[in-house]
Amino acid sequence: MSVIERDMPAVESAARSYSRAAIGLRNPHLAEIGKARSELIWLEIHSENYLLPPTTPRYQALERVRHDFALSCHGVGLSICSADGLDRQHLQDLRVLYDRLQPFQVSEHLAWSVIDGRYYNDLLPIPYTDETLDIVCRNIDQAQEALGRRLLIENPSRYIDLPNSDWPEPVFLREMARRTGCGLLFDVNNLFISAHNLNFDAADYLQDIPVAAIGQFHVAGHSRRELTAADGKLDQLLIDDHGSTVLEGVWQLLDEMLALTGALPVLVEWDNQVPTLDVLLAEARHAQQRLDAVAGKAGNHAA
Amino acid sequence: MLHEWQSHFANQLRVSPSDSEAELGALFGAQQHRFSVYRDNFIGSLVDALAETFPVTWQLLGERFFAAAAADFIRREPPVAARLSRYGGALPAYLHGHAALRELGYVADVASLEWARVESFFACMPETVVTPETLLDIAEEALPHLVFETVASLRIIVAPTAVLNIWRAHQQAEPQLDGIDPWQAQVVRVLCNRMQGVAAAAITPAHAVFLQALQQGADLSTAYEAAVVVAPDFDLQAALAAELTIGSFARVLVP
Repeated sequence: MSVIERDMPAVESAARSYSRAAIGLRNPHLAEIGKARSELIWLEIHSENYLLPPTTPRYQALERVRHDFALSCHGVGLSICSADGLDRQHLQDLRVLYDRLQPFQVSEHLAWSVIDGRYYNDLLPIPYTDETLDIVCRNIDQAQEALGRRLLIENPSRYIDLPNSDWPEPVFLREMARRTGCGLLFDVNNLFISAHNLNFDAADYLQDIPVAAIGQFHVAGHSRRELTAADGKLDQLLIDDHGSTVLEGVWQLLDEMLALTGALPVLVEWDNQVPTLDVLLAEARHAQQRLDAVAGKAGNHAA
Repeated sequence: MLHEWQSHFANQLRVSPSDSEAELGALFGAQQHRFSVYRDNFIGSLVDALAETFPVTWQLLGERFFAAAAADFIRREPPVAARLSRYGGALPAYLHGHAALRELGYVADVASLEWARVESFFACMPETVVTPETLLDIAEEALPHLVFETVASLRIIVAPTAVLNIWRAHQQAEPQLDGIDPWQAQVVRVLCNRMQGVAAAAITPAHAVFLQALQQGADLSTAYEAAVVVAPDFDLQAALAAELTIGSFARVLVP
């Protein structure tokens, strides 16, 4: 905590300098991403995709991209909520990568994927309890120290209302941010999905969220899946599959959140059935319009 | 408590759906059916990762068989680290032991070759290599005792099948398998260098024994003696020249 406060720039200043819409850099677009220079100032990469020897073609392509865009590095494998603690080698590898790339933000998920030395390659849920909060805060402290950077932690998409949970998620997030000094990467799609799947009102949720800790927004597409419950009833779930355009309900929720936070970096995520770069850029343009609308309102207020 | 809960959750990801109903009921109550979202993600994403690492194995087995075999493998051997590009080292051995593939041994051999290529790629360091010219400065009487340290990216696959021919045939959109006898044994040397990336080439069994001996730290004369046991006409000069030319050695130690 002390290191974070003393040596690291606040979420606020890093975030505000890059308050524009962006997209994630995907392998199929590595060669042509340069053409996005006229509209984008930053890109997100998945950190684990670049834990490669610097001599490999993919890493060298990233080095070229770095000259044209600021980078936000999104970790998907640190397993910040694991009761086993963190993998020190993985932390060290990330540190080397971040020191080379100098991203303006680094983020991880409020999730776990590692237990008993096995890696489950999914963002698995945690029950919100006092014990979990202690473990998560300890892991975030360790990660921030090891990386020498403030982390943004992303709220999860939820599918099961875990019976052993006793904190509301936004209060858990607020306490986590207060104790560790971490920021939040707020995934609007995840909130939309969780509200549907767990049957709560997103507006209530937003009442408790630590608005000042939010440093970046994610939006993405989701799909519907119909499951059959044990009693034979059909159960319609929203699935966070990042495989399509952002739905209008998610854009509207983004508008509401931007009204609370003011302009911040907004990322359009698309990880499955990755479309052409032009389709992704069109989504980013749409996100930029939502951001511009907020800036316009702020301008009117000032006037 | 969180540790036990996470262990329990993870174990349920690894058992097949039919075996886990009672356990899931205890963990999640009326929402137990939703656990399939996590299980499908876990298995599906790792099947995709393995398909990316073993593309020719995937083609040989077909999508459905590959997915079923990979899912079984994933349940037994989940990854131990987040770098999925390095997941799957145990898949060739799993396929070698797969009852349904007993008559199709070349499939597991191709998987071994694909994994050797991955290992070679990640071991590809920007190291300097020993060139043929290096040997000009060494006194002739010292030659038998030279120890050649092989580069980290060197791998040797000894297969009872035509593993390299089959792999090569699948490097084009329409694999041409005409004229390939899958049961013709092949030995393959895999090596990565900065100029060419990973390259695989067929070598003779004696040449492989020679290289393996060097890889294990034997000096030149000992490696040669091992090779002539396999092929009395083994040409040391030609083999050494070939390896020096492609850069198989990181260092040469003169006694």
